[in-house]
Amino acid sequence: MDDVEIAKLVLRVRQGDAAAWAALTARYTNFLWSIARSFRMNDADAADVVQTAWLRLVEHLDGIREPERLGSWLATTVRRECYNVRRRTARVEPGEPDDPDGWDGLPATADPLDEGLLRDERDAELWRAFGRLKPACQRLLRVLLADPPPHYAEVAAALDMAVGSIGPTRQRCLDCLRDLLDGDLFDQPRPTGRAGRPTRKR
Amino acid sequence: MDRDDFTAPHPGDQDRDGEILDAYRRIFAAVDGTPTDVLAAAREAFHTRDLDGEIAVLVADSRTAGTDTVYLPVRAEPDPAQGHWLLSFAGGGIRVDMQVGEEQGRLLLLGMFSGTSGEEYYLESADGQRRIDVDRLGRFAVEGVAHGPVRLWCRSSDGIRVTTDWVTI
Repeated sequence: MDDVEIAKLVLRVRQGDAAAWAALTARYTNFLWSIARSFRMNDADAADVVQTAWLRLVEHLDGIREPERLGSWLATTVRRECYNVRRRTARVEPGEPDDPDGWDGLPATADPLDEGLLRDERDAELWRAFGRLKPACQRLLRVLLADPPPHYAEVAAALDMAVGSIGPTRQRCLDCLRDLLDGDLFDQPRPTGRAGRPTRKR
Repeated sequence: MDRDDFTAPHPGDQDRDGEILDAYRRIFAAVDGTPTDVLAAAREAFHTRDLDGEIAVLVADSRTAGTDTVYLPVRAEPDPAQGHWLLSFAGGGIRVDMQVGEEQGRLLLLGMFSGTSGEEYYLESADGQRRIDVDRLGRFAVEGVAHGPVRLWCRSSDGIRVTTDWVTI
């Protein structure tokens, strides 16, 4: 979905078209969820910040000046709400989470090794490697890999980064990830069938 | 095209990166996909649209002091470390100033409407809405509010409805 299609959907929504609204939520809700999770919101807080962004959009539909940049508007709203929730829950001084490192001491929100959701040993290894990436890389990749893939401008708004830095940073993060992964991981044929529940690491 | 427009440093890396990224995309969707109730709530949000009302926008939030909305405390310094903060809304001819306090996971809202001779006042949240009592000076107190998105609205004696921005509290 390109910018023009997004802008057209916004115009239709302004005229009361509920199907266009549903299309916008289908386009962006996964992306907004990934932003909240990349900022390590727990389930309830992530749900709240995503919901607040959509509710606020309903209120401001007629005031959105650049409808083609809706994704960036939503992403910025979620990021700011994450800051607010973080300040509330962590009892930190105002300003502290604006430093990207302010988010990094928090525990990850999902531990799939406990949930048995990884389908084989290769996925388990991929997940462990991801957990060893720097937090900033985890955050960027988590958001970039939302489905459907967000535009770089939207990712930049989500993480308060310059658009031009997204591509190079992404490449650096991928290089780190490759270094962490067993070189053969993607060269061997996939094992057939499930490998069962991955071994727990404590 | 502003995505996936990178050049991998070594031949073959680009294909391999694509394969790695596809695997992670699938893993994130399986392990931490958007809950269905979050998707449903996003669709439902459209029903909160109010074409006739006016909006009092969030003009200050002590949690973001020093960033995008500036709060200038006059008396009480907002102190997030003590579990309370200040929100102000203005627009549609009204102003609302509100302190949010937290006690044992439930929230207490203390605030004041100014600029309106409202007849009805409501607090709206994910659970629905509840009428709130506002005294003749515009002051109100609401106890036992759950965390989540909320907004206030009032209807003035001449029938105009003014709604605040939604905020996550």
